[in-house]
Amino acid sequence: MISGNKKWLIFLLVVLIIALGAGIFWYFQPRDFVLPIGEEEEISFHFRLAGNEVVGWSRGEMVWRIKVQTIVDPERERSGKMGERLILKDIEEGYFYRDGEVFFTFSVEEAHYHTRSEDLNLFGFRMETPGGDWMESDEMIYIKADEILRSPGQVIGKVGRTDIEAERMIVLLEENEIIFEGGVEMIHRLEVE
Amino acid sequence: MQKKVICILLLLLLLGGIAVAERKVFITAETTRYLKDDIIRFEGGVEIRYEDMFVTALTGEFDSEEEELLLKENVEATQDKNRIKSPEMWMNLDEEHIIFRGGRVESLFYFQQEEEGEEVPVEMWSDTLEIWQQRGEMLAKGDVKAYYDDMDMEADEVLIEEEKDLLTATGNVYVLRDDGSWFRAEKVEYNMEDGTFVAYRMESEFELRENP
Repeated sequence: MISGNKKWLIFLLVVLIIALGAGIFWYFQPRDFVLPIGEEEEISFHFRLAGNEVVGWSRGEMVWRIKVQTIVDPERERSGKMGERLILKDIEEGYFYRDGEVFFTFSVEEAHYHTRSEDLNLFGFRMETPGGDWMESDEMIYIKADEILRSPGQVIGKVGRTDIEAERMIVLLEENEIIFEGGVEMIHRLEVE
Repeated sequence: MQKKVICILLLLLLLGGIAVAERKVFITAETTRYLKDDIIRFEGGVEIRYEDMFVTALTGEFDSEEEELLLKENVEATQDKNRIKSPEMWMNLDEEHIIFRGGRVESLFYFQQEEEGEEVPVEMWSDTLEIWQQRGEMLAKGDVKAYYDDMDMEADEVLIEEEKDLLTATGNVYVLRDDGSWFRAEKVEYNMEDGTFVAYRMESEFELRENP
């Protein structure tokens, strides 16, 4: 027969072992590293965190700016180094610039920034221009090397008095040109006199 | 008094509806490029639908500010049974003014003959064809050849005024009828409703037949 004290001792040991195991499991569990929002940090030469804003640069000019609450680096904890993909969450608003002025503002559910290519994947994307034009797509990719924005999937939107729907879209930022591809459907409203 | 007010309100609603009625152009294409200065360029399988008009082409361009449309390559326009084929088509949507050009324009129109109630086709070939939709007029220019009812016609220009049922051919007009008679004139006015001619400065050849 085991006495009452021994029972308690065994119980405590079991609890300690479980707690220790859980601690070790938690310690070695890979986890996301959240960048300190609110502090200034030079993440890369072309990607700077200032306050709650991240800014993308190209050839000395600001290309995009995103107001963000959370930046997650999934790789940092594992390797101890900056990962190649940062996840931007809780985004308040984003801006694309051209010639120093806001080209369009955008809202987005989540953004992925690739530190090597400096590309940006924008998920649940909706853009609006100061002139009232808008465009929506599930994913929009900013490809820095080509200075383009590309939607690999369906886009819908309005440019001027024209409603547009297409299977894909490319915006040539430098040329100021938008290309809609695949079964493009447009409805243009004529000016009412 | 109450009836009067209702009538006025209904009239205002009707007029308001007409005033704000939107005219829309439906465009489909394989690829569309938005260029600077409100220019939209279409490539591949271009289809334009505007009111009862349907146009297909291989490429096109639309100036959304000026509301001018330019379609190129294998342009084919249809409106009811009427059909036009042309290498190029330009259209001002606001004024509903259309020009077919860029090579030989081939057209087929149907005109209602009021007395017999039949639709008679006019086949026409020309270098250009200009249409004013709102005025119901069309002007074919350059080596015009037309076939209507029982006659072949050649002229420098042919103007068709739908409201007046009048076809006016000018410049080196030559008309050959199915019975072999022909005439040349500087100007011919042909009433499409009753089939009568007025010819100016005419030279003619026809066979006189005795009554049996």
